[in-house]
Amino acid sequence: MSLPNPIYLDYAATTPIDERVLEQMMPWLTTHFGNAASSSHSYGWDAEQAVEKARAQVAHLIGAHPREIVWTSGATESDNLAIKGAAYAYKDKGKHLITVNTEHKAVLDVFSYLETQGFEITVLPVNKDGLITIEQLQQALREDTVLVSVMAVNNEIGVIQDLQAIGALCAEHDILFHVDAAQGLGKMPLLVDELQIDLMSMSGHKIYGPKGIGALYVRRKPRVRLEAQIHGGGHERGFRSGTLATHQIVGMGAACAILSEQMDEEVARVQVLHQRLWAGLTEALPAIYLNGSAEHRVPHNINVSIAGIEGEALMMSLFGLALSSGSACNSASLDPSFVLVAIGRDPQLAHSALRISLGRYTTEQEVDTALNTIVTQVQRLRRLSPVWQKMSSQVA
Amino acid sequence: MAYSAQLQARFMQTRFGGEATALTGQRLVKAYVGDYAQGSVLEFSVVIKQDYIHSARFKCYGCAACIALADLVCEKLESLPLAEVKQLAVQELATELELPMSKMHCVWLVTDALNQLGKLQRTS
Repeated sequence: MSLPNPIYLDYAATTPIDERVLEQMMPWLTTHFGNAASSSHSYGWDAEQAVEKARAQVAHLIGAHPREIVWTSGATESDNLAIKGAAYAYKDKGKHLITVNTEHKAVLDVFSYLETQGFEITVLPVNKDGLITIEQLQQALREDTVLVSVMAVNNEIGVIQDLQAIGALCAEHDILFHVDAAQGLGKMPLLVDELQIDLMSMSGHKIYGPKGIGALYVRRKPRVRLEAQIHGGGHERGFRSGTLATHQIVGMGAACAILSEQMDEEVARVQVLHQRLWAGLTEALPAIYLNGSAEHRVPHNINVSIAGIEGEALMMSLFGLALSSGSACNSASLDPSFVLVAIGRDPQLAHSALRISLGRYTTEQEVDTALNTIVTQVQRLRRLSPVWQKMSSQVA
Repeated sequence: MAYSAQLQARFMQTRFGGEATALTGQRLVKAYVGDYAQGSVLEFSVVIKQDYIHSARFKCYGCAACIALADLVCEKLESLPLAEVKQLAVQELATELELPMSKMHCVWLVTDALNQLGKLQRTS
């Protein structure tokens, strides 16, 4: 499949639907339109069967049982259900919750909301690599801690937290471990038993599936309780009411099935592209800085700060490339990314950051074109910059 | 940010970027305004021959709008009599580029730089 111009390098924002996924979805938008809850005729039975098949496909990818998969409208809703649902269900056991200061707003805003409702929140700061340490988490745990929420892969800088160690620590202390896997699913193995994860949020549109669909893994052994956030019919075993969007669900299932088959091969291919792009950038341009750990990251993400030029000018000059700036998830705002500020970047370097995210359809030719464009424009803007003139004499 | 076609064209193909150099009998005057921490720094360098601007160049750490405006201002400065520099209507040039209202700080920055040029030219 080839994508139209400009060259798409924003896979972390969203992904195009895989043609194989779309093909699976189409019948459920046309002839097979039944409601999966209609139990008295074949339209409903067929839809129910398709939903359960998709549930199994998601479960297979993460090593879960199909009955542990709850359909939602996306990772944001999954995060809300997981965090609020667990907080309210276990409030008699304790009201202390822990997360990390570089989580997606879909987690941080939920935590902020719960704080207004009487819960106590600890937000752990990351280090310059964008990671927390297990010692930090250990020190933050209390007798009344009921939930720890840590994302698998950061959406802006692509770093991977130590889920194995965090899961083990939470299990040792009988504390629920929630993982926002919106960016991690399909980019790294996420086997829930191996990592001792109790709740995991997943997103369809980040894995070449449709937008508007997600899933939440909810452990059954031992059983995790959640207070439902949407009421009205008791669908999804009471976790999440509402008529199921069969076509969306089929799409997410198909997307997961594809990943179960080809994830390893895909990650290896993207790794080669990553190395090509990063080597090219560092050879041609002095004073550029990778944001986040170089070692603990997915290859799909390169978030790089470029010294000496202003961020908006840089973005405007990259005509023909679709990527994100240092205000990745807050692109309407002129504030620098809070994630880059959290890892210690000064506002100017945070503002002049590019988030390049590679994906399934990224080609070597696209990487080379992007590399050439970025290098050419950075060199042009640096020639125009009085700030770079002073900096370069120090760099040299 | 959605800019006008002429602003984007001028930003992508600046003609007056760099530093002016003076030959024997000419005067070089430079103005430097702005603050890196605030996100904008602008330097104008002009060569004065007799009583007019012989050449004008700019360097800018700033947004696309700032760079485009600085480039257009340099174009207007060249061959301008010294007495008319103060009357250069930066706001009109901003309007010509269809600068969005949110980019008015670029007008102020350029105006500050021209004022500094004027003061330096009178004292040098």
